[in-house]
Amino acid sequence: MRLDSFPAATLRFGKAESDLRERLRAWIATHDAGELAGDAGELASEAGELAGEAGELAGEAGEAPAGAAAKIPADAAAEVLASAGELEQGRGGLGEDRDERLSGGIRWQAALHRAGFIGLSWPCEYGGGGLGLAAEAVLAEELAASGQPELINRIGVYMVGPTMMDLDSEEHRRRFLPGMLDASELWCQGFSEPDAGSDLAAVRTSGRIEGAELAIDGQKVWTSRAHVARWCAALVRTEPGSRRHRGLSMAIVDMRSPGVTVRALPQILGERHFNEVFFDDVRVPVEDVIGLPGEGWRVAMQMLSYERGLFVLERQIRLHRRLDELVEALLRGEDGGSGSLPAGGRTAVLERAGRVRAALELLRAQAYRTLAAQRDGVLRSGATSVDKLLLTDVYQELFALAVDVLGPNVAMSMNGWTHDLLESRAVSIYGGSTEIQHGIVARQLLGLQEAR
Amino acid sequence: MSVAAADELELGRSLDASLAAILTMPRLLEGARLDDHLPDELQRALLGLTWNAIAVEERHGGLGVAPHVRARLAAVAGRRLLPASMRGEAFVLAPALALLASAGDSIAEEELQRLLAGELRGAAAVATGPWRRDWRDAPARTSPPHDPHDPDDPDDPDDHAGKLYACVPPGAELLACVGRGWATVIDIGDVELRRVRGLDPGQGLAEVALPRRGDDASPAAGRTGDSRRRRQRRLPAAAAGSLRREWLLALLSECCGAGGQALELSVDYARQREQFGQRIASFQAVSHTLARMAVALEASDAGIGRLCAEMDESHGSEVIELAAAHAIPAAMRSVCESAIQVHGGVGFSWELGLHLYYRRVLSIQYLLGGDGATAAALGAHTFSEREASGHRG
Repeated sequence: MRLDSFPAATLRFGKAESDLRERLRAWIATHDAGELAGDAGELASEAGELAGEAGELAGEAGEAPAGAAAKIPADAAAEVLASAGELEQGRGGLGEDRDERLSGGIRWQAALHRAGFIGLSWPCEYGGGGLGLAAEAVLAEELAASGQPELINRIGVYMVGPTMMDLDSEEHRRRFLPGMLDASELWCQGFSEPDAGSDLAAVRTSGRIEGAELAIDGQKVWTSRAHVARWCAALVRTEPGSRRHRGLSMAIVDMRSPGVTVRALPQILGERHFNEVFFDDVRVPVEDVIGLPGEGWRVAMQMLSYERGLFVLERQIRLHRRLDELVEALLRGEDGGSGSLPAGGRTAVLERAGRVRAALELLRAQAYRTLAAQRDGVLRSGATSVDKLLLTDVYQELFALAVDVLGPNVAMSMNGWTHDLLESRAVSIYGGSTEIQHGIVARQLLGLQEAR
Repeated sequence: MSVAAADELELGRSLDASLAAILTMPRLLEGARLDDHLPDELQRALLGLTWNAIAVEERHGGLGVAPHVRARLAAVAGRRLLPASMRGEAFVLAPALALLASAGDSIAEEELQRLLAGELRGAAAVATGPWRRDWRDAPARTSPPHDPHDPDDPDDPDDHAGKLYACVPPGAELLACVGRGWATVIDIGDVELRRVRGLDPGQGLAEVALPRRGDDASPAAGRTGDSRRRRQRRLPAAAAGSLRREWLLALLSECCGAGGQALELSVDYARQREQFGQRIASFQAVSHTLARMAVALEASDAGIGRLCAEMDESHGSEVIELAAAHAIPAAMRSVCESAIQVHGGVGFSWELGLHLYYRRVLSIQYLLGGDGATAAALGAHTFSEREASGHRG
């Protein structure tokens, strides 16, 4: 036990944060992401514009926000979307699909940006709010608590942007940061490959240096938002014959470039969250690398270190809302006639709900602790694996509990609860599987070098 | 780092070093075997550490340190298996006497000074059990003990949890008692104590029976020969809440200390123990178990951090207290169970002493009502909260 640092410092909110919270609440109360989506025609044109030369993306217009009747089947991808839409009917809640939906999400973030709520922790000189991470936590909390979508350009604002400010050139910052904030240029993250999942250092996508250009060939997979992104931060091997963590670079790939192909990779629910991205002799100027050539691993790790804190806090609040919804459904007697909760309450249900609630509260505490450590620059290497593992457990337990206590009449049909139960299997895999996280904790937090 | 912050760290380190020197495993095991207190000379050495000053303000001669420092020192106590009676003295009796003294009770001030000097021993019995079960008429597993001062506070006929426990050190004179909404300091001679062989042995565990209402009027002065002494001194109702929170912070931090030590021992063991020609830490089955233990400890650590922040800023949050009271002992219990497992056969042995950490954590878990009852209490709270909010949306 690290006695000197026990108990962990936690995030505290001061006057600036409570003022911000008030302003945000007032703003959110008069704005709604669903309404910002506009009509189908606008959606289509916007999507088309974004899709650019990647012609097969036109079907993305079908990814309308909940409530908007925009379904424009254009190709096979749209069929996937349409069937996903059917599955989702009657689903209210976590908003994990909603936030994937292109146009509403872009308008939502752009509107938030105009109101001064995006990039709160970025320095003012790059268009940020010059505030601390506590302010970002307030934004994440208020968006999640009001059921509004998270930022569509989360990867840009919270991962690539801060990494550029840490490690990249001033020229890149000036060129790329503004489009991240107003969501005019979305980012995706090209890390995983078919043979480099848990073992990320096995990346094979190559970036041959040919004169003033990098020629990129290879395949990325599980790439969220690749279908709408303008830029991809792609981990590529720029030193031929290099092995493992050496010889990698973080290329900035324009997704409109010739040779970029994005294909939907429907997941367990048939929904299109993820994509495969194929690079076929894609040309990137050699200077379009984040940080220095050959430093790609370090850049990737820096980006990933930004991935947790806020993301976990945001998820925690959305999960808490789902628990509230479950409790409300039980109080209304909507347990499909299985009678989980008669007048006196059933101890077993109260106990299980209590366990999930307790786990959610500890997860919140852990998220605050991670944010405080990030803010103070004392985040231990490997520490955010704890956030991920705690999130995974409570996520999967919550929906298992929900489907169980709501009973067969809910469990047998496809609905929001069964949707989230299936979807919860992703959590122990994405962003480093549970096994990988345990390995990281063993090696980095416990110092067990012999552990794999 | 400010000087004060450095001092705070030094406080934890030096307490840890002193306790490590006094509370060696063979001594702890001997106390546990006999279910008896540590020998007098060790007790005196412990009393010399000004431990009882931890939760007392400076103006009463205490350390006047913030919640997170108190939590750290309580964690040290857990890590070194400080006698449980000293937790009651430092975190409940001492602040209770300080509260009485602040209200003008000069006897309490004298007693506090004797307590701080290690000349007076005492104990605490705190009813922390999750009796708040206000979601509908869900049956409570436990109910609060009656308030000895309040003739309108009914006895619960099924009041098996009116049972209070205290770890009573040798020569104890006073008992601080905290119930729901009331707190009192009683002459220990006026309560009925029934010694119980403790799951966590050697701690002087006793069941406490409070005097019946109205017993208050019967003369006590004759027995003590001290006409100034009132037998029961009631604290303001608000004090009950703050003493209960202090107790919770101490118990949960101690729990983390004990679990943390079990993890540390397990990591060291997995590093040096070889089987099949390699160190067992190189097996995923073992290293991932250790990782899960670390995650449990990290989360509990974060939970204590949040508890402290709440105590600093808003004098507590009921949800966080309920959540921590459930989740932290549960997490540390699984850490101790895994520690025994990682050690294999030797983990099950008496002389390694891992069972002492396990026993300490278990006894804390059940002092707080137990795994199921604490979970159900938080579940009931969650349902009540939703019901009160009128089923939003």
